[in-house]
Amino acid sequence: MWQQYLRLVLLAWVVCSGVAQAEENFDPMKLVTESIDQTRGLSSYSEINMLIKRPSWQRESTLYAWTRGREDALIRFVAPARDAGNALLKQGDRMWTFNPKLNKSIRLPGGMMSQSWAGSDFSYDDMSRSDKWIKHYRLEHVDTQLTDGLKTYTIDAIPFDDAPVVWGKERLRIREDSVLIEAIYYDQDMQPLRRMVAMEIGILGGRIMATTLRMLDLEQPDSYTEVRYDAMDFDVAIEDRMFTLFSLQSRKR
Amino acid sequence: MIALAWRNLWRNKTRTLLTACGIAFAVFLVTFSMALQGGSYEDMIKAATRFYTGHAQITQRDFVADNKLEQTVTNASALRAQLQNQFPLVALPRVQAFGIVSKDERSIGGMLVGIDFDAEVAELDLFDNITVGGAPSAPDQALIGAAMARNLGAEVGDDIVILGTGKRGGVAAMALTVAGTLSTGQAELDRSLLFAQLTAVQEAFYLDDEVHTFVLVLEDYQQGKQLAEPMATLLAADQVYRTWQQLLPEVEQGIELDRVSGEFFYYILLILVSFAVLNTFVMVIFERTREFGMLMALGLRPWQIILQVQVEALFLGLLGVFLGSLLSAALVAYLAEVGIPLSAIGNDAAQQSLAQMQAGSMEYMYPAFSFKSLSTAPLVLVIGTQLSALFCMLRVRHLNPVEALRAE
Repeated sequence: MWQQYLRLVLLAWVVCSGVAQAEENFDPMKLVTESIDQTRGLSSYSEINMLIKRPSWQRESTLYAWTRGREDALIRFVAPARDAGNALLKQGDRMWTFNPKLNKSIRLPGGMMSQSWAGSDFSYDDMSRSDKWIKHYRLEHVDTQLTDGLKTYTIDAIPFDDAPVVWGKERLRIREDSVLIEAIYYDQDMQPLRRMVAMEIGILGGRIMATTLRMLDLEQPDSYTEVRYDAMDFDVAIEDRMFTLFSLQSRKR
Repeated sequence: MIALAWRNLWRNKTRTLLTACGIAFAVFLVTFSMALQGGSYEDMIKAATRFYTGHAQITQRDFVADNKLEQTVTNASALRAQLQNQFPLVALPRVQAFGIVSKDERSIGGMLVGIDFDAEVAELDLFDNITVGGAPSAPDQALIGAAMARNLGAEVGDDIVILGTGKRGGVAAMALTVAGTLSTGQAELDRSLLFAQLTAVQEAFYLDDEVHTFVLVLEDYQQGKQLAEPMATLLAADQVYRTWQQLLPEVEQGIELDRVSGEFFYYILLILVSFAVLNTFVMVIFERTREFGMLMALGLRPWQIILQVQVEALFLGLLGVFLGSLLSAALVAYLAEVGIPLSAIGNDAAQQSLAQMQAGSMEYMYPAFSFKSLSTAPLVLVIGTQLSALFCMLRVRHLNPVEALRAE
């Protein structure tokens, strides 16, 4: 009985001290960085299901994705058959897209980055600038709340004046276990335009993460894109040549 | 009395001729400018609509604002046949899609337009601007803007690829060979447009028998508004019919602005000339006071004298109007035949504004008379001279014959 009590006290103490410490020197940059690294690791391999929902139609695709560090990524469509083989390669800030029908890879022009990627609510920018919050934004801690027993930090990310960004502001909500649960994108007039929200949180590849993410277009209520991670492996050995144009163009996955 | 009036008119030849020439010049200036304006409006509208936009268009209602790939006019082939059967027009189907255009390492964003080349080339002027090569004849050929070609480093015969998002989010890809380049002089178009065959674009972007726009070329461009009602019965509820006035509001607004400012100028000129005539008549009364006194002493009633002078004024006015009209009629008739080469205007600003109104394909301007341009100035001036004369002559009513006879 008293053992249980002691355990409770101990737990409370740990939590309280943790809270006190966090309040004193909470560093939004650290949390955002951890959050990004949490979903990528040194390297990662994932199998993703993407659902594009529109008022009159919907489309489901399956994708395989490989990442290395914060900069490099390769994403390849495997289903439906019509789209299979289409792929996207990211090397730092540069992106190429590969189309098997043309058997060509195409460098994405800068002006296209804000265009929708593969008809989804995600833009090429969303795909490429995974580490943009660290690089191009000033982060401000706005609020702390307790949800589901976990502290959740609200952080405003405001782009630097010279940042290559179309948004006026992004408001992030990150749990203390580094899971990003919401991101709201504001335009230059500070009107919210898009909202990305974690629909499910679970453990994949040994890490806690948002396993289903939904990007909503706030101007079109029936439209959204949902990304579901079906499988994920972290810190896997991936050959360096995976993230090259040669690999992008090779049809084997 | 008429003979007398005519003779009186020539008592002071210089003054009469000067006044008549003043009237003639005003008539000439106003009728000629109005003819020029009137003619250029018609040409401008024709040139602007025949360039690329057409006299009217049919689109899906939301496509007007959103330009989304899904917002199409369905059952396009059947609708096209129906349109061409029931109305005096040619319907040109178009689809358009945004995509990445790429050659080797270079790529840029562009607007791919799928069209029926044979019909478009026959009806529209845009394709007169193909500077290198020609219009595509095979489904794997493209016509691209000259600036886009330059930016891509592509020449006729080179292969380019287009990658975009098709209907329902599918990946749309096309490999095309450049058949020709298009140089319209409008930077925006030359940089971003490329054309390929309708069916090829439809297939690549997963579109069925559907188009985004029907560009309508009417037999008579003025019929656009009248056709709206019968057209509505043929169209589905979500389809809209818009005339060039809605499609190219800048053309109509430009014309309206030009017309109003022109008219303002004409009326000022006409009022000015009327005042010059008024001055002439003040002098006439002054000089002829003795004459009028004598006529009254002989028993003429004041209104008879007034009538006499009014007839003189009428002759003066008619003489001026005749001379002026003759001059402008001759000039307009000649220019309507030959045309005024627009290159002679040479002014960059003028060329630019023409290009903006999509009237860049106009090479000559043809003045054209209309009832309004022919009648406004003569009418205003004849009435003006009559009023001027009357205004001065009213004094005659109070003229005392004895005093008038003594006047110097």
